[in-house]
Amino acid sequence: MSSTDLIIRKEDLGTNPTSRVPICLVLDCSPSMSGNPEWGAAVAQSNPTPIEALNDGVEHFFRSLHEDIVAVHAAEVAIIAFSGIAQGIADFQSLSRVDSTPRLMIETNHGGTSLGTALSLALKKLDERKAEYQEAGVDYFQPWIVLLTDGIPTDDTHLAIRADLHKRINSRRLSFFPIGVGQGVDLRVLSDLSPNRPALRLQGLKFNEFFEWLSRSVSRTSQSIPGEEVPLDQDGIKGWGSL
Amino acid sequence: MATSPVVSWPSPLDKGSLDRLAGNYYIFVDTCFVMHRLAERFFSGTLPSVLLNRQTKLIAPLRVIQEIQKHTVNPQNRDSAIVASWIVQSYRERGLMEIRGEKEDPFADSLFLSLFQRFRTQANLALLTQDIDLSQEIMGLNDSKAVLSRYRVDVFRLSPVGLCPFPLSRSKREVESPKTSKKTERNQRPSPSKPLFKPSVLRVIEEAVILPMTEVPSAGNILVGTGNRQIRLGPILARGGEGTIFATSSPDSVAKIYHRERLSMDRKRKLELMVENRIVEPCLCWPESILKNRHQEFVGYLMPKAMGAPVQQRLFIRPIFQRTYPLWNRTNLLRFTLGVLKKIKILNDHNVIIGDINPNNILTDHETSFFVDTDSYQLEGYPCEVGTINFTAPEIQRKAFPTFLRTQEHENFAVATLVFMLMLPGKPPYSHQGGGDPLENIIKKEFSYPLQNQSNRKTPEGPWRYIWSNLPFRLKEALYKCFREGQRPSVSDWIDHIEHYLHLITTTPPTIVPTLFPSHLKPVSNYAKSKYSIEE
Repeated sequence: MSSTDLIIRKEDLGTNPTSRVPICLVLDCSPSMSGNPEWGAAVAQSNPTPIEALNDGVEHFFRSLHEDIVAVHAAEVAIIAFSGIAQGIADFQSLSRVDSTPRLMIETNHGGTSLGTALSLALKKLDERKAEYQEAGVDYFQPWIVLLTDGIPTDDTHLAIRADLHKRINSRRLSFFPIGVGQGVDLRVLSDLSPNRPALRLQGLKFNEFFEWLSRSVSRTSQSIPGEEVPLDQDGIKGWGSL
Repeated sequence: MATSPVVSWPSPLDKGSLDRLAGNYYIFVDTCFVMHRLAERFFSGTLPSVLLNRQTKLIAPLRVIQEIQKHTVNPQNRDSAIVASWIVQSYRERGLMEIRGEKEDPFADSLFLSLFQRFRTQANLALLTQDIDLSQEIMGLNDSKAVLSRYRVDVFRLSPVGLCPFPLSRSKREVESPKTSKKTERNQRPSPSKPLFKPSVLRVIEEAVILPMTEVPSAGNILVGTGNRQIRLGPILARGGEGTIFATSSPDSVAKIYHRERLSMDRKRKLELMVENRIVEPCLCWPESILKNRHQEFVGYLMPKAMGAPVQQRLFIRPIFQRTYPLWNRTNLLRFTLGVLKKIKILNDHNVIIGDINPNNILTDHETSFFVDTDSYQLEGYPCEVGTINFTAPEIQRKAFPTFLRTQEHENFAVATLVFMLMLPGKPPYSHQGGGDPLENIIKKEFSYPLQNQSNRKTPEGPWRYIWSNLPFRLKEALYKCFREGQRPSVSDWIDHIEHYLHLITTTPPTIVPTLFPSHLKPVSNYAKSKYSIEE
């Protein structure tokens, strides 16, 4: 990140008093998301391919939040794309300062699904942002991690951060939403990382429906007060997910 | 006194003046007016169309209706009483008159006087009466120096030529006459108006009784309000956790229709109590009528329509604030704040505790504030069942709101928080550097803005410390003592502080900067420099 970005990020913390909702999207961009069985997809899928549907969904998410005058000043969305490696595509900052939605690409150079690498990068980024909130004296809601993956982990990194995740979730310092995509995913692995909320499976490629629900949840949270329990819209989940 | 009416009648009100009267006044009718021999002609004239056009109603106290009924058995006045009843009935059927009040109300005369005394600082009031003594007492209110009001009180009577204003208040003559001067004196004595609600203890609800709703109202449905008034639901305006807000066939009113599972017997009783004891105040969206569906089931209520948008969405996000009100400076913000405080005071004076004061149920339409979600207000034994952390006093944090009644002290904490968040638009008083959880901050009273040389050096970054620095000292001191030491000013104290602030800004030259978001600390006076040995 350039130093100008950092200055803008800090300036926004100073001038915008709205309590923040930090959301980290951790998105699987491994070759199987291309929908091509030769690249590891469990079922062949095109028009749209999973990655196209995911991009549409993320765009829909940004657009919906921009339509909510409070949420757009409260929500801060970071995106981590991962396969065998993990990299930050967008950093936390108030959405009111973001004009374009980042596009995700299939990671063709690195196969694999390193869940733990991606999640620990997400936790690190959240911790950094929380420190910035505290330094500026800005209130924030407990951060969210939304994980979307279509594969089975190809390493054991997720076992190493399991305890850290559990601790944060149980002490209500983190909301974790693990979502499986397609038939190749093992929901038991995801649920094992999430002590109070089982992993859900996305129905087909209903990314749009999922992100619509997510943006509504963010809007609702941004209308509440940090520290308050915001009940999830359980009925809404039926529109895109199943156990 | 009824012996010396002024000889020549002033000219009667034409349709335009009648229309202005209907549009700008609450109009009350007295018994003798409806029973007057000219009443039938007057009431069947242009008045109905004027009232319909203005979507307003005449107000008849219950006491007046009872007096008319009494006269129907009195052989002397029987005929005019029957005509009067017919007028009342036909006006009510057409939604042109509403009856307010209680059986225990005093006689109509003293009732009008106390009503007008109480509400004349809040709205323009008109009385239609033939009673000269009463009219003089009422008109005398305009001359009262005890209370300054920007609103008018006017009295009208029937004459052969039509509806005429009562001769101007003859206050000069009254002073000369010993009898009337005594009256004036009595009117000027500040009479504490009787609160509409009684202090009470928490109602004990054994078990919530959920009322049936066999048909959920939707747009286009016709509902029945008080006095059989028919209300057609328009399009949905908003959806909330408890219910849905609809536009209605009455352009100045909206309907809140509860979700099925939210319709409890207790809620109905509370709303009935509120409708029977309406606090009539401009821009206060107090329930005006219970609404029932065609199965006679309680489904919601009608209330005045609010304008503008929630404070949270207009004033508490700086870029939107500056885009919405680009010409505002602190003068506007202070006037808005004063309006909010005065409304809170009126409510509190009636023993109503808002409880859930927050920036989403106070709306801003420029400097005018609207209060919505009034059905959650705490009154008599009904607690306010909701609240938010930032506006909840430390001693009641983590307590379940439905299980106790809030006190004025609790309300004062919420008011102080609101004042702070309006002065530093959107910034909660306890947000500070290194502060984590807002609830912890409130309980620990970790208020982090400095007073003189007292500071914990955790003031939030950005414009907040500049705004704080530029507030008048008196206001800073009050906020500091409130949030650090728990000495909570009353609503009237805050009104004083804000008026003082407004005075400092508007005197020439202003001693305080009027900028909304100043970018510098307040220049330190030489006196302060020497007193606190500050070096620049």
